[in-house]
Amino acid sequence: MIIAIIFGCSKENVSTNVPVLGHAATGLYNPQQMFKDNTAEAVEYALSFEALAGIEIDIQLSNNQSFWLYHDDDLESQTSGSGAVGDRSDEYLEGLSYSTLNKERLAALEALQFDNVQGTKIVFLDLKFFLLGQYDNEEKISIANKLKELINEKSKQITFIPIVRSLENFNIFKESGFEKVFADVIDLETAGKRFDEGFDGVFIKDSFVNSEDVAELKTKGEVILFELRTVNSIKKAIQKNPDFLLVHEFRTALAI
Amino acid sequence: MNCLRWILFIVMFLSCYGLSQKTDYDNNHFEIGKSLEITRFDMFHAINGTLNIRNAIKIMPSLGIGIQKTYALKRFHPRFSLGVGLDLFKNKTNFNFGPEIRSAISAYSLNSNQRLTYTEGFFGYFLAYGDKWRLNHQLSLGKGVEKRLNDNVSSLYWGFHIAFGIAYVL
Repeated sequence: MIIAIIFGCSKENVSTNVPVLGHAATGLYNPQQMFKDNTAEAVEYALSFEALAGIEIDIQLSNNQSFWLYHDDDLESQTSGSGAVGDRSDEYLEGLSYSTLNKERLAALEALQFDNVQGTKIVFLDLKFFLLGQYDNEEKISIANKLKELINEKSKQITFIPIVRSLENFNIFKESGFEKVFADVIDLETAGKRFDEGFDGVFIKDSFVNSEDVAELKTKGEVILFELRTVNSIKKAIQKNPDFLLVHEFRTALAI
Repeated sequence: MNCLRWILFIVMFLSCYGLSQKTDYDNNHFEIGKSLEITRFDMFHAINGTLNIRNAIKIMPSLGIGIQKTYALKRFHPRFSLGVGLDLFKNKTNFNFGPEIRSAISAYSLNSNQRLTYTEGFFGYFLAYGDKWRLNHQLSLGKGVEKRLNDNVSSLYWGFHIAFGIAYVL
């Protein structure tokens, strides 16, 4: 054991200059997560780490057009409720809790408190409700304006950045006054296209790009690599030198 | 079928194993062993001991190091835990089973200016089988608190302790 301790603690040199973001605050399907992802507890916990650059959270709209943090398409998979967030009222969603030991409540964006934030942070808002394609342009503009108004009332230490998947939505959020709007892309080609359209940054799966690809994309905007679960995958992603890493277990990434 | 074969093999092995080295040890004796401990935030390989008092009360200290944090992350992650159990089969020399309470403390440095400590309390059971050489197992559930020493933030969580080990009666 003594030999193991000695060899176990010789720290190798891996650059840790790449800022780390918490995926869904404390990680999706992460057995080591302290609190359930996308909950008020998870957001507060993650943002209280000074070394963490920020978090990404998943946002859905209730049928009252309020913003709720939730990842999955249906409520059955994670909570005591049923149906989709978009089909449910605020009153119904307020009564739901996750099927975890802590029984965290479903969280509304409006109700999040940012009292224990350490330093300045970035919160990426993955706007999942636009994937449904059920809103016309006028409704989208109204939703974007409402979101901007809501986050303006939140902490000054936090920069909120929406993540969208189309040029149309990008333009709407830019016009609503968001300084930066990022894209979630499925491949390298789409990433290049998004930068040409004016997007400020892209989220791209780590496995889709190598160091050269990241270096080339960084000449056009900010690059965030995601889908990082293991220590090895995080170490390899650091070597690619992106602008941020979006990881499922941020304590592990911060300890590298 | 393959599964049944394995179960039969293990049962046969354990039966022979238990009977092969019949030892009459004192009412008070000590065991020392090695175990793998699985917790919510890391797996530990540990050196553990068991002090048997009147063959009824078991004091089970354990000192381990976290495999993920210490080896993969190169962050030294020690853990000390202490279990106290009551043997419900105290008249049997080669089989022990009973409830246990366990307390554990572990710590590691997240980076140069952030240190995390975990203090945990569990309730569960322990199980041991064998004579001179013994197989051990413990399973317990409970609450823990993560403390960040530099910014004085604490978070409560549900945790668990699962251990599998082998020990030698001294």
